[in-house]
Amino acid sequence: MSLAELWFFVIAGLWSTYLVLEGFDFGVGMMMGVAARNEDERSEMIETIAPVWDANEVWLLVVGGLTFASFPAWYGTWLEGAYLGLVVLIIALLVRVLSFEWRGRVDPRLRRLWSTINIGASVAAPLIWGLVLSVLLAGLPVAGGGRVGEMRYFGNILDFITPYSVLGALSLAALFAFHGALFLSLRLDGELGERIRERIVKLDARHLLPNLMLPALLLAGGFLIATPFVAHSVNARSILPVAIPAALGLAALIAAVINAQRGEFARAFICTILTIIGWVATLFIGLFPRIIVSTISLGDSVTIQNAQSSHYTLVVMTISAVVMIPVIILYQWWGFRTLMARLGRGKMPWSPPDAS
Amino acid sequence: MHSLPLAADALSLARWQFATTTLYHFIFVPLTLGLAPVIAYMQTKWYRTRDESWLRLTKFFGTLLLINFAIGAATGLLQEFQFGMNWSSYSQFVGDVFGSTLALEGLIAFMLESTFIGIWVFGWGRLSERMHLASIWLVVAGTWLSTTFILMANSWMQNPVGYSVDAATGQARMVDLWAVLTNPIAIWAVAHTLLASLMVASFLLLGVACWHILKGRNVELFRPVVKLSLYMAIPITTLTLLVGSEFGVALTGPQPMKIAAAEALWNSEQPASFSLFQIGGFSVDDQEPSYSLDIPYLLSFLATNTFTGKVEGMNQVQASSQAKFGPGNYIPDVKLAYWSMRGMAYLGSLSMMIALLGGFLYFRGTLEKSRWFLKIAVGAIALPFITALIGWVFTETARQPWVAYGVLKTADGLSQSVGPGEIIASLTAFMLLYIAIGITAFVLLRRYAILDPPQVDGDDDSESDPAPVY
Repeated sequence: MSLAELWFFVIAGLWSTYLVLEGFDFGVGMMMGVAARNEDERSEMIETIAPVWDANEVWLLVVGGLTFASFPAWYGTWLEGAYLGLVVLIIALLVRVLSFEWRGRVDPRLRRLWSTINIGASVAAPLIWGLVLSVLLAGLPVAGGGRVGEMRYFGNILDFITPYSVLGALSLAALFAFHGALFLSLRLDGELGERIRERIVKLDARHLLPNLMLPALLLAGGFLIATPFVAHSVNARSILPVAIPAALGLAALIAAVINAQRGEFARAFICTILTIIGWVATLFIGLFPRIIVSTISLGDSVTIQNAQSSHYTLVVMTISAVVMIPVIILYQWWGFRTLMARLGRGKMPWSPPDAS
Repeated sequence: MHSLPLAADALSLARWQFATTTLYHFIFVPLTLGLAPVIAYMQTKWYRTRDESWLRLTKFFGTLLLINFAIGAATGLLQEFQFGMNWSSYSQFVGDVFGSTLALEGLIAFMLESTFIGIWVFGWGRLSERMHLASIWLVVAGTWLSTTFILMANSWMQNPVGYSVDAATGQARMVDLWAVLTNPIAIWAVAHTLLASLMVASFLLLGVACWHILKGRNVELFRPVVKLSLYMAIPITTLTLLVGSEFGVALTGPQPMKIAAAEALWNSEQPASFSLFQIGGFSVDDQEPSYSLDIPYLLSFLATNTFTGKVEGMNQVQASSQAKFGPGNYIPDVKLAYWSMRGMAYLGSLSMMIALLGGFLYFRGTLEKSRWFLKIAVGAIALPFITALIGWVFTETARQPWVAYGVLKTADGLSQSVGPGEIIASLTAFMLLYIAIGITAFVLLRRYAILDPPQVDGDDDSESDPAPVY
């Protein structure tokens, strides 16, 4: 395996990390929309992720920076093509950050507005990430540019909308809703926690429609099943190597459902983590050795070979990542444990000063 | 930035978007950079002396830091992705070097800063006091390292080093990481930016403290803040100006055009005089100002550190640039360069005078009674912010037409498939959003800046932590 191929999988690993971590934050945001009855309950939900959402989101900047450094042609072509989608995404992430910080500080009448903003952003962001990631495999109009070494995008944002990428978008959002609901089921007790657990587990007539598990099962399951075939037909991949991660992802998803049914929510949460990793792994193995499949002709695709940066840069990045990523994991793990362990419900370290 | 985007071509629109969103981001960044160490210092004071007033101040200014930090982090997201979105060709041609500095920033600095700000905010009463104190100092380390890497990236655009151009693809390839990390321009830029950030923070401290004294509220508590802010502001304003001047000397080598344009110096002079103020003389067709107030020898001194050094003029640099890079116009917007340079230097000097005046009143013991000065100090909060922004306008516009000096022109860095319509849409969306955020931020910061600092009563100090309330 060449260094650039290794980096392709490192980037995949970083996407998994980011989506697993911010995935439950987004899921919590969605639950504020569907499972909370009032602003106080929404506050309770936000409290569960308050100390960590910022650190979770930084993984996005890390994966962005490392993609920029290791595959400049991927970074440039992809972001340029997704222009308007990314504008919406960035605005969503931006207002979401502010909603966390400001929701409790502004005029109480505006709290509801900031909750709505947070909910909207938590739905929009996973949809767009699902779309722009899975369209890499569905294919985009990319080809070599006017200059040697430059890849160009020859379409517009509408080229991002394909049946497969829409499935990717919906499946990621549904998966995050399930993932976030499981996270909340572990972090909240009392009536609110109970209600969320019911929404995951119960499947009788009254609970069928608002059930949080079924959409993930159907959509993410569908995505995992479809990907090996899409990779075969669009990207000339043989089915088997893509089917293996897909099958493992599917197994994790089914295990999540079974564990949730048994009331084993912690195990179910670990299973949704594995499902998200399976989602990313299946997609990236389906892409390999290409990065953006070209709809113009397969030979025009952005590939690991033609998008990589120099060997020197890849070595620099490898050393930095090998040194820094374990250090980051170590201090983030320590921070998670310290703050999550001791932050129970109603124990927020804060009573607001009277700012009226 | 030669004209308003009435022509609405993609290039000028993309430049306007980059300029406005980046400047906006940089309203909040220096306050975070400058205020974080001040808060760490206050908390350290409390940790050492157990004097509760320092704890109250830590929490008071900590709240302002958090409100501000949120916007800095939120608007920073766009900064990273904008390179790929609007400047795809640039990203592809320099990603190897430029992208690496951004990647290092994420790995080494931003992760540290974002993780430990959460730990600091939620760690009151949960971590040992020593670990909690360490966490705010790690935030400081994260923010300062972050600045260092970002300015390495920017300095590579100003003075590309440690790379070679790949003969096969024409892309810049990193060949020497150490050269990129020790870019002389980066070292000056980091020093200048961090000093300017401390200046921003010191003026905020001074202004907020003076406001409370003016209103006769919490005077005992804010008296030490006045002292602290003046101990910061007096040396720091002076150093910012001196380092800025040396920064200019360092830039004269790699970017002679920038220095010549900043002085509206069309023809080489030896010795060169410094123009304090001039009317006209800002375009190729009008090279002779109709009025100019000059100080002899000063420009030679500022640009070369000798009173008789030779300073190259724009006509000469234009000729040598054409010989080196081929035909084209290598002269930036001279009027903008000249006035942004002066705006920065003059407002910086004004800040220094205000700091010195404050110091004089303070040591004479009449500062608290000098209501006129207290009012000036409140208004002067805005001064270093504006100065810093003008500084960026200068450094970025006077590099034009280059995006990476001598390597890639701005016009060649653009995303080819993104049309004016899309940029107008995003520019409009970001402007409306940023205006709304700006208003909210101002209202919130003002509200918390004029609030009485939280009380801390003995055993339970968790009542008033600067954590957000949900």
